[in-house]
Order: sequence, then C-alpha cells, then structure tokens
Amino acid sequence: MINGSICQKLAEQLPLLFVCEERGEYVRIRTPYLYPDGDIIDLFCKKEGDVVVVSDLGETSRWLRMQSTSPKRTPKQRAFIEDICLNHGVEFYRGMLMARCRPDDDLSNVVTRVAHAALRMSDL
Amino acid sequence: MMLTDAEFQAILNDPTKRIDGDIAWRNDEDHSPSVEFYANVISNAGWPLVVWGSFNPLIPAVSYVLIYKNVGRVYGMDIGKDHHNPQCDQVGEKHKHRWTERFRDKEAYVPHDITAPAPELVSVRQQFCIEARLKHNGKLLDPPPHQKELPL
Repeated sequence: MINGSICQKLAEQLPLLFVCEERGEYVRIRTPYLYPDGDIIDLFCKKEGDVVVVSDLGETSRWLRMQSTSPKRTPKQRAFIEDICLNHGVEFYRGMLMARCRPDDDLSNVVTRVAHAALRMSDL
Repeated sequence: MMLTDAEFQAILNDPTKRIDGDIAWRNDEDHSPSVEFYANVISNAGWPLVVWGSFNPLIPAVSYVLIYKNVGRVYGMDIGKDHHNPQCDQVGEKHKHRWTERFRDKEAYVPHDITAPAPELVSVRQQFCIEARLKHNGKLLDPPPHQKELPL
C-alpha cells in the first residue's frame, strides 16, 4: 500500500517537472535538469512529417564553450562526446545533440535520452 | 586557483579594462547555429581576462562572459535561458552571474540594467560592458546572416 502510494505520487508528479511551451516553430521543453552552473537545460521539439526531432539546438555545446578560454574541444572531449552519443542513441550534428522520435517511438524516452546526453556533455 | 570576493570586486571595479579593435562574430568549430566572438581584455593591472560572446538565433539566446584564465567564468550575462540558484529560487531568462567565494559562478540575479532583448546584440553588449566597467575601443560587427535550416 505504501509502495503503491509512492508509485502513484511519482506517476503524478514526475511529468510536471517537464514544462512544454510553444516557442515559434519549436515546442520548448523546460527540463528539471541543470547545467553545472545552475542554468536550466531546455530541449526543443519540431515535427517534420511523421518524425519529431528533439534537440538542444546547440545550447549544451554553446554553454560548454562559454566556460573556458579554449576555442576548440580537446581530442579527449571529442571522444567523450562520441561515447555519450553512442550511449544514449543521440546524434551530435553541427554542435547540436539531437534524436528523432518516429511514430512507434516513445517521445518521453527520446526526450530523456537527449536531456541525459546534455547533462553528461556539460560535465566535460 | 580560488579567487576571493575582494579580488573579484577589484577586477570588476578596475576601469582600465578594455578591448582594442573591432570584434567580428564567427562560426564556432561545429558550425552550429550559434555565432561567437572571443577577445582579450587588456588592463593596467594585467588581469588574465578574456571576453566570450555567443548568440544562438534559433532560441534566441545570447551570453556575454568574462573569464579569468585558470579560474573560469567570473562574470556573465545570459538572456534566453532560465537559471536555478543554489538557494532554489528560479531567476528567470535574463540573468547575470557574479563570482562569489561561496557559490563561485553558480549564483545569478536579475539585472535591472539590461533592458535590450537578446537579438539586439550591440545594445546588450553595451549594457553588459557598463556594469563590468569594460571599455571597447572599436565596433561589434553584425553577425553573419543565419541560415534557416532544419537540423535533420
């Protein structure tokens, strides 16, 4: 009974941590995750045909670049990013973390994967 | 290296900080939607400072930051991205970070001196420079036109 109530509370409350809002041509998802300085990780979705593209629009890479004086990532950082993308099934295209949600995919799963990749990349 | 509050305040208050020459926005190493610039800051005290600016027109979001080499960001301004403070308050999509010994650069506040919206890059930069006591002897050139392309 107690475990059931914990599960019920989580089922009710977890979705509220992700706030969606239309922003121009995108739907912005404000996640509960933070970059290491406390800035909030936002993701952006856009529907193209029957696919929804979920991306950070390059904000993680931009955030990371603003933290140091180095204009280029190190080979080690590049290798870690490749590893993170492999791990979470996310692409790194033109500085953007992104994943496609096809009709049979679970959008919440895709959003969580991209958010998790952003979180890990920001720790580099 | 740890910067003390007094050292940070001395850096911020130093009116000799300046950037010489025009600044041009450029693409980053990934050719992402964002453009950025990087400039060395000169000062009589010889603080090892650089300024980064970056602009993502898709959001739109802009950041200007002052970085102290070997320490990291000591001062910065973000528009277009919300912030959560260590005390658990949400600051909002326009905020500034200031170095403190306690929270380093993790604490932000609402800057009432920044009134320009993110796409007005020159105005935002000017307002940022005023509080940072940073003089720019030159122009901030317009960013290259953004190519609207779906990231597929």
